[in-house]
Amino acid sequence: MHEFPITQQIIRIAEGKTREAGASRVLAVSLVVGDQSGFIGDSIQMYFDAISEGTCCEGAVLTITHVRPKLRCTACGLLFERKPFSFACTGCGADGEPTEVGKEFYIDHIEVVPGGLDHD
Amino acid sequence: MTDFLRGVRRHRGHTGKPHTHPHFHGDHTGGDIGEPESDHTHNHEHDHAYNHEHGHGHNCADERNPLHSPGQGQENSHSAETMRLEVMEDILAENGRIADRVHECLHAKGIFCINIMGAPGAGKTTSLIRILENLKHLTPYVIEGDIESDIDTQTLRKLGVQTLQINTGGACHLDAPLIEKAISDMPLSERGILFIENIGNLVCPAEFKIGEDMKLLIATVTEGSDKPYKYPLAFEKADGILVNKVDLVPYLDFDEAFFMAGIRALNRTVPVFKVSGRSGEGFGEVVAWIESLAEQKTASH
Repeated sequence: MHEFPITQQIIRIAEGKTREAGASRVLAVSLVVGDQSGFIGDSIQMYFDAISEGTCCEGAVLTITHVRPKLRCTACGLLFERKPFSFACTGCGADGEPTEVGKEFYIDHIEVVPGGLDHD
Repeated sequence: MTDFLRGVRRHRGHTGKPHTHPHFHGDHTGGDIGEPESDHTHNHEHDHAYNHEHGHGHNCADERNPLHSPGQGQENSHSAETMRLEVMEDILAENGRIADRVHECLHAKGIFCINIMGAPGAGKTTSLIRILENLKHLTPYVIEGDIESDIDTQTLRKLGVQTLQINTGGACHLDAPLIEKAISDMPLSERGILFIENIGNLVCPAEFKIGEDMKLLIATVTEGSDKPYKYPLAFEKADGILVNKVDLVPYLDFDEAFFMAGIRALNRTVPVFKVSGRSGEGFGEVVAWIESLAEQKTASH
């Protein structure tokens, strides 16, 4: 459910960048979505196709790079993916603590058709 | 912030070409079930310092200027027909900006703001009522977030508390624009504490800042001791945790050591209070702690 307004925001950002560059049409939007961001790529994809209709993003290919969450070991500093029901470091067994890895949620880049506005 | 950007730029090396990622989410909040990404190879390490405070709040849009001067993004043209524009914009940045505005506005009025989160049935409203009963020094205000109905608002108004209802009509969390609108409808004339009861949901509310000074998580022994492992973000982001319904412990197989180990791994310093909404046990201590923080924050008013 909450991917709907978020997808509108993605399209707004892409429209703004496209306008700034004097471009007309967006061919691709590339997102980076951490698995712990709370946003589901498949759901964004579904809304994207519907919401982008009639905007410069209509027909654009949405690509999503997923990032697995990682903890950092408080003892040895290793970055690791946790096992289910455990926060223990896969290297030394000490407790890991949360990091920002896996919480990403941003637009990396877009691909546009240059020009194409009135001054084209 | 620059560390974040540096990391991201390195990261981009893996992501330059459009590609698809067949993907299965077993449990998107924990990453602990299922094998989401067996068919993709992004096992980059991200070994940069990545420890800025505001999970989603980082505002890449504003921070990227030193690295991305205007027009720089257009260098990477793929061909004459297409042009690549670097964006690097946090999609939640707009919500974060509004949350900061809400926070400033409340601070200027001498209002300390508490975002109450928890699963449906955790006892958020009951805990809130217990907190209000114990509040000694500061004026309480409440915003009730519910998908539908104003049952809780009616209850609180009967207690004489200024309460505003937000119905999200299906949305699973409150966001900063909703709160900005809500506080514009409240007088908030005396120094006090604004309690915002978020939608009953252990997932989404943790992801959206709404201008709060403190996220207060209401967990319960009835939900089971594995919840920090299954819903880590809520426990990680909490500034205070109430473990409610402790009067029911004799009837349950609640593993307190396992529960606390999970909380401590995610959030080393968060205060944890055992309470019973039913008997009122434990709330005196909770309120003393809340009031001391609120007093400090609003002292200049």
